[in-house]
Amino acid sequence: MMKSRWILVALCLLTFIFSAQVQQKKPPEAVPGEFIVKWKTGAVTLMADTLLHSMSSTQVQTFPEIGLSLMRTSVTGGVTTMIDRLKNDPRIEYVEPNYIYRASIVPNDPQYDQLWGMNNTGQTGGTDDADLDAPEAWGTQTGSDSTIIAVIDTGVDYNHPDLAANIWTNPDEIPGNNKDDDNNDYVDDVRGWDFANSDNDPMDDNLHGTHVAGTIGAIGNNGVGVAGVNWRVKIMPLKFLDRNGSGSLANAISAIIYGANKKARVMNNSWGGGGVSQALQDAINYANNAGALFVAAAGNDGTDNDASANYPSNYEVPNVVAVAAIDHKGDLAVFGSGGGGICGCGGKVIDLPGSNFGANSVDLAAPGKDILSTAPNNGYQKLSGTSMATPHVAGVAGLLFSQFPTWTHLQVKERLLATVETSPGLQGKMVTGGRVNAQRALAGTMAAD
Amino acid sequence: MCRLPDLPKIKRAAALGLIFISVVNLWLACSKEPVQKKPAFTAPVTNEVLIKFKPGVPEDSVRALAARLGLEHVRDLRDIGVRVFRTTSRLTVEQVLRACKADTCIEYAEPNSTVKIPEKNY
Repeated sequence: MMKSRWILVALCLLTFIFSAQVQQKKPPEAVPGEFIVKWKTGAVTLMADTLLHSMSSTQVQTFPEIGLSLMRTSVTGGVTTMIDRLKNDPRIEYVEPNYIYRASIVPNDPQYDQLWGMNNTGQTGGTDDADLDAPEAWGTQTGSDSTIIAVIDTGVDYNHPDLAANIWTNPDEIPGNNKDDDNNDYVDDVRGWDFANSDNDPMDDNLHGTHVAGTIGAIGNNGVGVAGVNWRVKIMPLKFLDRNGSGSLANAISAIIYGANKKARVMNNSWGGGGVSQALQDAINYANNAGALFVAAAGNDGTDNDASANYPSNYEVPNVVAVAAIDHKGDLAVFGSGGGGICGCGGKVIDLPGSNFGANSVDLAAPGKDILSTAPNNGYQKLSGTSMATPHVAGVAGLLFSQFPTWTHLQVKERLLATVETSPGLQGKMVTGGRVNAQRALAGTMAAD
Repeated sequence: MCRLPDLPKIKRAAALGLIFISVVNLWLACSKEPVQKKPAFTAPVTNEVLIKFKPGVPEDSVRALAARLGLEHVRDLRDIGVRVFRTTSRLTVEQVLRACKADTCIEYAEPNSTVKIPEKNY
């Protein structure tokens, strides 16, 4: 009797686990309105003509060698309706959508398979394809040396073997001559600036900035560590946060202005706080006028930014892109251990924050939990937070600038937002209701497609 | 020969299953490091203020205001027309900001507050 009871308990548990794992696969991508027909016998043209008369379709192309026709329909309901109508037609062997195939590239970096945010196969227990479709995007674009992305943070370990070749160098400054060659008030600013310590060495003495930089642009396919969203890019280290991750408003402004003046196309801002500041908004406006996209973390309080503003992500400047974080199941991320609520652990009540959200103030989401990336001193580490989601979006923006170098920052923003992969769990939580998708962004596949 | 268990037994087993799942979840929740709530970063933690003067305000007026409020010039954020000053012992940051708000030569003045990385748990 006891034995059968325990079997039932185990069955309940297994049912619970497996029901949580069942995921809906998205349908394969196909050319809207087009389908392919394989004729059983006879002349393809004649049969196609008959079909054209009976249904509102046009023949786009024939493949007489193998008896195929590519058809286009204007019927309401499109391809699905046509396939349902034709699949039982005795003249037709088979009918199927005109599927879209894309090149997919997987880098040889040994820890790449842990990057669920790039390509989620369920390797960490998450949802298959809850990612930014990086391999599919890399079939089109892997980044370029002409795209500059500023990392406004705790600095960057510019000697890291997975970053060194992707660090920006100032073309207008002669190293080590103790002169301000480019007349920007910063002497020997060869690879950015350390505003926190007022010197020309933006080396990371924390961890945060190096981690952010790795997600944006760890060198891809070099057989080392991980791959960034951009395999090739120029990362501009602008350190204004000190070793404790703290910095002043004035130094944040200085970093933003520096990046704008040095032609950074994208600025990654995985920081916040300080309350509303007109001066900071003026600086972001300055970056906007210089054509830089300002990508900002939505914050990690698990709160609604519509109700309680988070800065700088809440500034209403056209170039601001506010980013929430998702976990490996594609859900809004919870960073604590108890599901985002209040956990009474050991008599103490502890708040467990998650990603902020905001139907009007947060634009889109990106992978931001248990993200593996570069760490100082040749290391790699997993971190969680909207700070980790933000560089995924900054990275995809970088790919867009590399693919479309004449585009303005606002065109890039529009494309990023229009091509998200929507998800029921994110609907109503942010402007787009979806997560960034690199492949769709490069291809221009709209969210409604 | 297989035999289906009777209904009360199924109910008991389902209840036991739910209790088991709850205990496992609670154990998982409490076995990890707690995450602390992020504090609000609104207080000015430096003794500096950012002041934007209205266009056309002469340099003499700027110097006079600085002297009146006991401000020491630190640097300029030229591209956005903002000046950074340090307060001296005479007035607090709050007192300086109040005085600036009443000054018609000033567009805005705000504390040089602190911003941070939002992650607290690594």
